[in-house]
Amino acid sequence: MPVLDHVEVYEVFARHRREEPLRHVGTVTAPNAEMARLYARVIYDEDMWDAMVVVPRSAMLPVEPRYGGSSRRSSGE
Amino acid sequence: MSEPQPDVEVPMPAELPALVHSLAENKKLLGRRYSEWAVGGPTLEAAIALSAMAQDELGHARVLYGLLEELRGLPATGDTDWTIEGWGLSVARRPFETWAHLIGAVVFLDAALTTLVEAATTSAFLPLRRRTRKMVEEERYHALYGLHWLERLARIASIRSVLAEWAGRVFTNTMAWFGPPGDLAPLRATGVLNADADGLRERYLQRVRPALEALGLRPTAFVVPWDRWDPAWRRLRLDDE
Repeated sequence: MPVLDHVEVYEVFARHRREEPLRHVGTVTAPNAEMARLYARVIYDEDMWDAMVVVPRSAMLPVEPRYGGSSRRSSGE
Repeated sequence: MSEPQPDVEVPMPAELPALVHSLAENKKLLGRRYSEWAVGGPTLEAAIALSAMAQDELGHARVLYGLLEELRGLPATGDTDWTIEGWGLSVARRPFETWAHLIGAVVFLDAALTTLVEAATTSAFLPLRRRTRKMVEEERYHALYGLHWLERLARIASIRSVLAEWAGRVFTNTMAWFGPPGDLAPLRATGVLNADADGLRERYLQRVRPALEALGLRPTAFVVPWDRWDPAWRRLRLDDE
């Protein structure tokens, strides 16, 4: 089903208390931001989070090319 | 939609137990159907979300069985005390054959049940109102999930035709489920629901119209066969009945 192949990896960040920094809790693979939020909600809702956000991996910009890391791989993982 | 009524209990209307029983049974059946696909979704994320939705539906059914205890005045020790499969709509009685059938049920059947639940969130009958508000919140995600997957699947011609045929069957059954014209009027008149059968049907139609359009279906193409309406079970008769 080729239509189902159009997905992107989203990084999921969350924190327990407002004064804490957001920390990485995992990833979800989804076709759009709306579904990424839904999937993150059901997969990572084991804690009483103060905040949880999703960020497309493709939106994470390496500071310089040699620090590209996994952010270069934006989809299909 | 009207504002919530003050915390006064109106007398329990005679029509309410059957309606709640039908809602509970169909939610339970839907939860079972979801759970059968919870290990078969096209992606792990889709399967996990569906598992959560199955849990929601079964949880809602259990809460509604508790309400039935109050409505019927009979103590129940578990949902088996209340289980009479006769309430189940024909389209929810068997496992869904494909992922497309599952998604069609999320979009068209789940939405019908939610339309009724929403109409109870302002209920003058406090035990009903108290139990329905959290359900509506959880159902928001079911609707999002269903429409998203339906729109994706509808782009594939071969799946779209399967979905369209199935959606028509589910839609006809759910349009009937609200009851014949004029049904539920006493519940609306007493503020137990904020709409009667015709009002619920109209709200449901507005809710699923984008999905129907995505499948190239026109609501007017479907006529409810009221000669098959079974008032005792609040559904269309099954083929073998």
